[in-house]
Amino acid sequence: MRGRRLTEVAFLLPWIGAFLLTPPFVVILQAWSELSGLPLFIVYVFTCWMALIVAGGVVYSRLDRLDGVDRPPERRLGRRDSD
Amino acid sequence: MLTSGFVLTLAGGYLALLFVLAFVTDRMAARGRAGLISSPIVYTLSLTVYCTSWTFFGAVGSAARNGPEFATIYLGPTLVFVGAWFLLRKLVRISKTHRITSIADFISSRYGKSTRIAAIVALIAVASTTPYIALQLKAVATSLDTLTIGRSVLTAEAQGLFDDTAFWVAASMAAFVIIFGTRNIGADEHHPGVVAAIAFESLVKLAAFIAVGLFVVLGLKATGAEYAGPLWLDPMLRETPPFQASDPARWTAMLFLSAAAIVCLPRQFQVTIVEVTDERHLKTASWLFPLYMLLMSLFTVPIAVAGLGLVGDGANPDLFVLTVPMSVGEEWLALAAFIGGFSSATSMVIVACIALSIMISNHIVMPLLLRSPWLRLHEMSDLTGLLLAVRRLSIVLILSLGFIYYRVSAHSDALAAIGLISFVGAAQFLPAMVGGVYWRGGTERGATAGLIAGFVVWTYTLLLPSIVRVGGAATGLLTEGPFGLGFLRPEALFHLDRWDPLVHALFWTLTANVVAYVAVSLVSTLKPLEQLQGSLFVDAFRRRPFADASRAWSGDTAVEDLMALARRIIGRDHAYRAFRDYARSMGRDVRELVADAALISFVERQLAGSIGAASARVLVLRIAGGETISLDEVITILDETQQAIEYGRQLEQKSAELEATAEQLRRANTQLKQIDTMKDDFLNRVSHELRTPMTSIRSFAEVLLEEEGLTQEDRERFVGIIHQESLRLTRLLDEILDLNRMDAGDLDLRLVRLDPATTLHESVAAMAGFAHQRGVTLEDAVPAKLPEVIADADRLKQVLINLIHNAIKFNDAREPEVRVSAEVSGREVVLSVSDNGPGVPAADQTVLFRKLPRRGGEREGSGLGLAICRQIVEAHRGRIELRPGVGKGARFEVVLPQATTKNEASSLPAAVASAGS
Repeated sequence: MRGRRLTEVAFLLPWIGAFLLTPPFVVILQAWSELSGLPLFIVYVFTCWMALIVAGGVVYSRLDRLDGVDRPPERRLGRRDSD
Repeated sequence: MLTSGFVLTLAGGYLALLFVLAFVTDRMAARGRAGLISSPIVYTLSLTVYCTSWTFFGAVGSAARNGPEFATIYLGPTLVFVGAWFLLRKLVRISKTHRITSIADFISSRYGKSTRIAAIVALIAVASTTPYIALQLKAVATSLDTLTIGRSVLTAEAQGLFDDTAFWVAASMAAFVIIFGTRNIGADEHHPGVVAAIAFESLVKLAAFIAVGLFVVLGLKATGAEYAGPLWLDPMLRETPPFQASDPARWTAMLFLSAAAIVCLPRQFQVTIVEVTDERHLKTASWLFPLYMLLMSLFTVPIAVAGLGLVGDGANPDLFVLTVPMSVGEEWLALAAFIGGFSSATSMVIVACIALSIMISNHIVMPLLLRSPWLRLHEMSDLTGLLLAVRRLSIVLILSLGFIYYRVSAHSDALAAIGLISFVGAAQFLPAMVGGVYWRGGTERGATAGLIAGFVVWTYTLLLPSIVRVGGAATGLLTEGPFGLGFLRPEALFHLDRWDPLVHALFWTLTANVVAYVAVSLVSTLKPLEQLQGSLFVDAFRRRPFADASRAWSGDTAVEDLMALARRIIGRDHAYRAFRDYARSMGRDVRELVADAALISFVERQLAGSIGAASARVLVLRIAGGETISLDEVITILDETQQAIEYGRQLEQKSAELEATAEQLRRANTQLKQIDTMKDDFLNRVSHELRTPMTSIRSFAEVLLEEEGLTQEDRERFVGIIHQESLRLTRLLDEILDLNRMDAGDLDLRLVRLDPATTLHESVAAMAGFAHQRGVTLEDAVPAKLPEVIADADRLKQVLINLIHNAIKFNDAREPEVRVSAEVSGREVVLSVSDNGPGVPAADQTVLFRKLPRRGGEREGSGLGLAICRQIVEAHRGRIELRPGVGKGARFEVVLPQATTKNEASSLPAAVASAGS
């Protein structure tokens, strides 16, 4: 159940990213930048970028942990052997 | 000023360091100690071969020219990697299962292991990578010149071939790639030494760029009168391009393009898909690689702004990373930046050359050589040497092409433009690749058509204009169109005018590509092997790895032949080890191996790892001589067909069921309507029947009330009539109630075993008086004894008396006769009452037993009698029938089942209940 949710989130991430980083958002942020005279657009792009990385890191490390639990017994056995 | 000799020595030393690193890693890997190399971190770092000198130097240039759009080059890959769990994982899974060696091999494998399509992909890859390699050479050469002479003279113009720095750069890169990229022909295309070198270089370029960035952000102060803060935040520079808006269309197009490039560029496919040792590395790379790119572009804007403020608009912004430190005398920092750019260039060239040389040798040269009837290569004892020679020659060829392009196009100054031409070229693989892993219907012809269409449009709309601009000749082509045909202008095709050339080209190439791919796929048929590979690729996650690949062959093959073949392609040692490991995994000795389907398919996979799936198949086919399509393949295809048929059949069944239900409903509806009409009819008739006695009662009562002079006799007569009529009314109502009760299933039967002969005799006896009164001869022809039936004696008698009564009453013959008889027919007892009366009119026969009063009220009785009889008989599980009697008379038969077992009596009530409902 948790695994399914995670994969769904993992699937959504790139689409959310694409939504935030294409017009109309891009146009809106550029207009704001121009109006305020501050490099808001650059800040926005880097914030989205960082948020995507953090979200990706959280989702994929959880997926990895889940994967460890689901791993077939012989592999876990093998790991114990190598210890 | 640094001297040219010093910088070249340093660069040479750096290359030597790479050699040592690659050599040591290869040694360690050969001894099975490649732990560090197969870690997800090293894998992620090797992906950064994406960040070439184009992005190292060019990103700053792009920011200084076009503003924030430099970020899209990294944002596209970020989106793809954040979603790595889907597309990339599928590509990796497929490539591991099918031992894919390159993007050409991947596409060829998907479309039925076609040699043709692999060659086309390889050609497109070479054509689109050549400008990119030229770009790297140019970046290294110009940065070297800037660093040593202080200006970017175009060395290609100024000097001869051997004085050209780029020539020596190209030559040393070729040496590196030849030594480490083609050291061995492995069972799969893994190059641990190269991967280690690339990972190391990724750290070098990141460190160099961050060093320059930190210096700019922290070290450079503005020297203006009113502002003395960090230079890059100088309000005077707030209006420069890095802070400006960029064209949304171009922004989106570049985002898409870079996302496509990260999977489609041959070198990216090589490091991301082919070199990966474990699918789970993707989970780390999915966030670590975007993080690397973020760090790599964190300081792009400050450097660009500082460059514009410090070096000025006239200078080449592509070199700001170098010229900014140089302009403030930080020569060592500039040197570090040069090394960073140099290392970006070398890593790109190394990986691109390896990827392209694999494609050229496996998909262009070897298929041609193998098919050539004169060379008889397939009989040669050892092909490893030939294969390596072909690869080395390919590397020299690729770098030569890049070098020539560089010499020719030395005028063109924007690095980013050349890089983007390359990206659009590589994006042509996208439809065939992504379509191939998500759409079963894509055919080899469709993919070929799409690739060719996209490539032709790419050449016309992007490559040709760039060459025309560089060459300076025939510029009329761009402004007037070929032969003055305005709608064919390469950068305004079909009058799609005033679009950015890149967006324009991206739109037309991909439109042509996708339309051709889909349309031709739809009209062409899938060959069996294409269908099989298609389903293996699309359902990559649904199948166990390798379970699919064991093929049954009709040819008969010796293990020795297979071993000899493997020796020729992958070398003696590799072949022996592969066979030994295979035998071990089967729990056998090498000498006990049988050339069964599994072994043949194993050998094919091993060969595919070094010469590509299509060529491996050609070779194995020659030896095994079997069929091109195996039993398993047929079964897989059949399975799918079977599923489709099964699904179709289920649908058909469902619709048939629905139809049947609809028919039943329709019938039920008709019946309901009929019953409704009957009910109306019944009510009509009953009220009519009730009316007749009521009218007569009322009129006689009125006569009694109003007529004064009535005699006592008349009064008594009238009262008698009223009495009789009210009796008749009561009887009528009783009958209706009776009928309704039976309809509702409330018929209370006291069932016992009885001899129907007794009941018949009793009924005849009861009616004897009435018959005599009417002058009817009533004949009792019933045998003394009949088989027993299960019945309610009173109810049965009611039925029989009713029948006899009717027969007597309606008999208007001159010598009226009624005959009661009985007989045994099979397992049934038939009791009959026949007469020689007028018989039943044909019109009445059908409605005789229905719950309807007879038509025409002149006869006595409600006409419900027969309906009641039928209900009673049916509650006995019997039936009542009308048959032609003697002459024109009628004959009613009551048919009852014989009582067989003792306990049958107990089972009847249930039947009664159900019959009644």
